[in-house]
Amino acid sequence: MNRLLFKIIIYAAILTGVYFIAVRAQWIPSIKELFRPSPIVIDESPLLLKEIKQINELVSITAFDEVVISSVKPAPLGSLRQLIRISSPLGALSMQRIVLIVKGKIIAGTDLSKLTDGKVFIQEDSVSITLPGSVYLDIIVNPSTTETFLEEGVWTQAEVNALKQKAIDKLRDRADQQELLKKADAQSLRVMHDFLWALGYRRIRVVTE
Amino acid sequence: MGKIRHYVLPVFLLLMLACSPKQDPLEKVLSIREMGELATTEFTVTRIVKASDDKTWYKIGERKILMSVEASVKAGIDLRSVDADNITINGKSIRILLPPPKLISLKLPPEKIKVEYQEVGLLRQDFTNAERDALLAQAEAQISRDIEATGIFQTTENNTRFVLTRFLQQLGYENIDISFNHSFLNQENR
Repeated sequence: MNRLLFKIIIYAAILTGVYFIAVRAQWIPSIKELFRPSPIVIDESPLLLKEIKQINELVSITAFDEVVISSVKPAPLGSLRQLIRISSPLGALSMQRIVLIVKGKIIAGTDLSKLTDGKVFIQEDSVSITLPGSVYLDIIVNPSTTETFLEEGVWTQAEVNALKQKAIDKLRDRADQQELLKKADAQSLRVMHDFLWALGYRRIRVVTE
Repeated sequence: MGKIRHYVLPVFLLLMLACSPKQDPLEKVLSIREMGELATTEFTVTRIVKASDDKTWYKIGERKILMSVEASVKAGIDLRSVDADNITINGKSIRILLPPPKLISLKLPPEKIKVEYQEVGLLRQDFTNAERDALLAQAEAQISRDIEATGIFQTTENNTRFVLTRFLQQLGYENIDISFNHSFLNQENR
């Protein structure tokens, strides 16, 4: 009996060793790889052009920021989470929760389409321009820069979209706190000054409204 | 019995703490980059995002999703790379050699992302937000790759010419010649 047990152990050890060598040599997939879900790849589809617009924007500042945004909602009727809430004193466990880490891009600059003829004065090599004040041209929150840190329960796309809109508002608030528009104003003036200098003007006055 | 009662409250508090929700991660600080780009064109494009999840051998049943996204793409030129060497002035005539147009931004507004159709097998779970975002990130990369084929750079050249001509007319120039230096193409990453 002991000899039989010894043989089984030896065979098992040999088989295990052979398996590990085969996995290491990539002759067969490892258990982890075997159970790794296949990536979901989207199909190729055509890009449809909806609108073409002419704009005139001087992009002077791009800021990168990261905000955390979360939401909680009660579990739907009849769900397991709702049963937990009824049967347990730990009510928090029955809530559905989502936490997103949103990396946003804030683009600020000057809308030059508002630069009217009356704001440009020229005399020989002197020029004076009054630029419109800087604005947020875009606050970009794209899926590729959004990380789902925590997701409990079912969250619809509309709910997530509303949450991302909150992230955009938060990014704008943080940019305001950092006085980003003031920095954008200063940079717009610098860029315009350099461009006018390159055009040959030597006495340049550029201000913002 | 008294000793057990003594430990009941701390153990209960410990359990409450252990079961309390995760702390939100910390936010990073804002980083700023100075630019000097003149955006003259905005393209709005739409794309259908279609995916099936039926390739994993041990998962029974399949999941399908169909989403629609809208993207706003801005293009223009880098005004900072225009210096005196690229400009020739002769009285009221001016010639400017500009760098080639490039993409400035690509935005997928959240409110323009919609799940149009979803089919989930009985033994499968709904697509999570993380999975949907991963699919949308692929769509974002495809839009970035395919946008050039829509002719955005040609339109941007025309728009830039129009915008700068108007600005130079405001400055008093009458004969304006604007061209693009495409030899920048190899040096600059579009």
